[in-house]
Amino acid sequence: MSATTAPPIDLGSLELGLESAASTPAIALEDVAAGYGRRRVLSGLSLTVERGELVGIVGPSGSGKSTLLRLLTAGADLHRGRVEVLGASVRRRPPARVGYVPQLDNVEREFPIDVLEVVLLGDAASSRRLPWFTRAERARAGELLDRLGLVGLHRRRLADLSGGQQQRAFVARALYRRSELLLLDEPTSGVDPTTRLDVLEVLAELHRAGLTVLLTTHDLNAVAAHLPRVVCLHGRITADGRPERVLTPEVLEATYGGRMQVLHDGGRVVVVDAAPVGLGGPGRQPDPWREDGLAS
Amino acid sequence: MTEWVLLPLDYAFFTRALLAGVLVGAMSGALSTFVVLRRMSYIGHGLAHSVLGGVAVGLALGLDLYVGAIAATVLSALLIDAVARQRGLHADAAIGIVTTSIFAIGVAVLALVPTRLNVEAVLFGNLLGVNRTDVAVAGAVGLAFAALLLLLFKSLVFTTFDTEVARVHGVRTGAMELTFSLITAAVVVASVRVLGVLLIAAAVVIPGATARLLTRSVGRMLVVSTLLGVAAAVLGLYLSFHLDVPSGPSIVLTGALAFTVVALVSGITTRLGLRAARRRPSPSELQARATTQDGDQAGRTATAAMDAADGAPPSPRR
Repeated sequence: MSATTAPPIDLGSLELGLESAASTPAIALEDVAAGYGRRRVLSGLSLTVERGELVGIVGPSGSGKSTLLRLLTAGADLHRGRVEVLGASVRRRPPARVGYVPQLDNVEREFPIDVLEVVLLGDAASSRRLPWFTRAERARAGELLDRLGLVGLHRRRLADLSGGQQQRAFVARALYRRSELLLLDEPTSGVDPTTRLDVLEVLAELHRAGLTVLLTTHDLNAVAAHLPRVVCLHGRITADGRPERVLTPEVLEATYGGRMQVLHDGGRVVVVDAAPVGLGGPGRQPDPWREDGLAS
Repeated sequence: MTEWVLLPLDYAFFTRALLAGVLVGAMSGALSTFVVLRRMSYIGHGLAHSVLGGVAVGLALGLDLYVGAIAATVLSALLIDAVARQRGLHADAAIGIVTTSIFAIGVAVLALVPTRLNVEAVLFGNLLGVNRTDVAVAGAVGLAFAALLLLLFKSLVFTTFDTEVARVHGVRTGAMELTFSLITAAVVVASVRVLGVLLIAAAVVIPGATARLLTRSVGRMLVVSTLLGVAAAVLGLYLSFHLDVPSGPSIVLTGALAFTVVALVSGITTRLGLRAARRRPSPSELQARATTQDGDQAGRTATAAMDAADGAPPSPRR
């Protein structure tokens, strides 16, 4: 965690949903083909994620990243193969003990609800039927928020929180149902670099606490810097492994359909676009409006 | 003033209308919370229009008003779903096509087949036309609505706030959507006599929109919009009686007046608040300053500073 930008999190003694940890993998896909109705988005997909792993799924838009998340939560149509999550086969109903963190862009931030209520809704399906939450439920949700560094912000509106704090609140909601597996849809999309770092540090902390975390992202450099395992997806898996082994120009071309440069800076892998001629490449023209005379 | 209030109560038709009005006002007010939050005002508008078609066809066939109204709303809901599934079409287009067509069928039937239907009363509501059956229907729908709200409130709020996450977290969001559609249809049908088909749409939007300006909690919004719906119905019915105007317009205009006043006051206070905020550090600035300190104390300091900046009392702690 960046000590100057975000409060620390402490999941040490918190009751997470890890008591049922078993020998089965957290996620097991076997020769899967899936999509929506007759439209096929994923095919020939086999993937195993062991319990306690932190895995990033990367790929271009339309590559099937979101479909993969939906498939794991019974939100896409399984055409062929087998899908198991936390040891149970997934067909019509989403598996229990799975927490989902949406893209911030898809959240109605002006919704009339405070942060504590956001977290409490995370287990609405199991909560008793009456329209209010019990004192014990509020206490547990409040403790979770405190552990995630949102001390004193329980009664704030979502719109009053920074992007990083909002992500922490949604992670708290995902954890509140005692999840063993967290699925995050583009958690670093549309956020500033500080918030991105904050989010990735929170996920690393959850990983250290023993949770299984699977996230989708476009951010190759964040994956390279922070995640121990990356899966490249383009309708099928094009590569799977440690970032420094997977993020190669050949794999990225097979995944994204275009050339990318991969730089190695000590132990770090940095992916940069191979700039086309006319957009900052060798053929760029001087721009008289810029002081340095270069094309923008 | 006392006479203005008590005189109408001497008339049995008014007390019946008042009872039905309170029930319809409460139902439409409560429903409006979800209509506003789900941005679905068009569905209320559409279903209300389709009621005229159902009522006209039903009466032409010798059926009761409610049979035609219920058939029309159910048929509308099914057709909207079917049309919306067509490639390239969205629900708004489906609602426009289906409900306007059923409304047009009703107008055509009224022109071709002589019926005993008082078209003006169906369109704009009629104080004199409220009978015991109308009160019973409003009471039954109101009871069912209240029971569903009590049992499903959390799941309904979760589905409204974030449908996809609610689904993954075990809420049967499809059942919630269907329940909401049925509740909307039932409230529309139960409100026909008092409000009229052309004005129901406003009654299921205005109280919620007004409450949204007054509160930032969905629970309080539900309570406030229900009370506003009841208040508009009661005041509107008195105005209808004394000014001899149809009940629907008087109820809707009362609600619209309340919305206008609240919107103006809210706009003024927001401007004043913004001016005051410009003179002090923003909450995010205070948070950033405070979180440079370590640990738990940092968050508490930030909150205290933000509370002070907002002029609010300290945030509650467990």
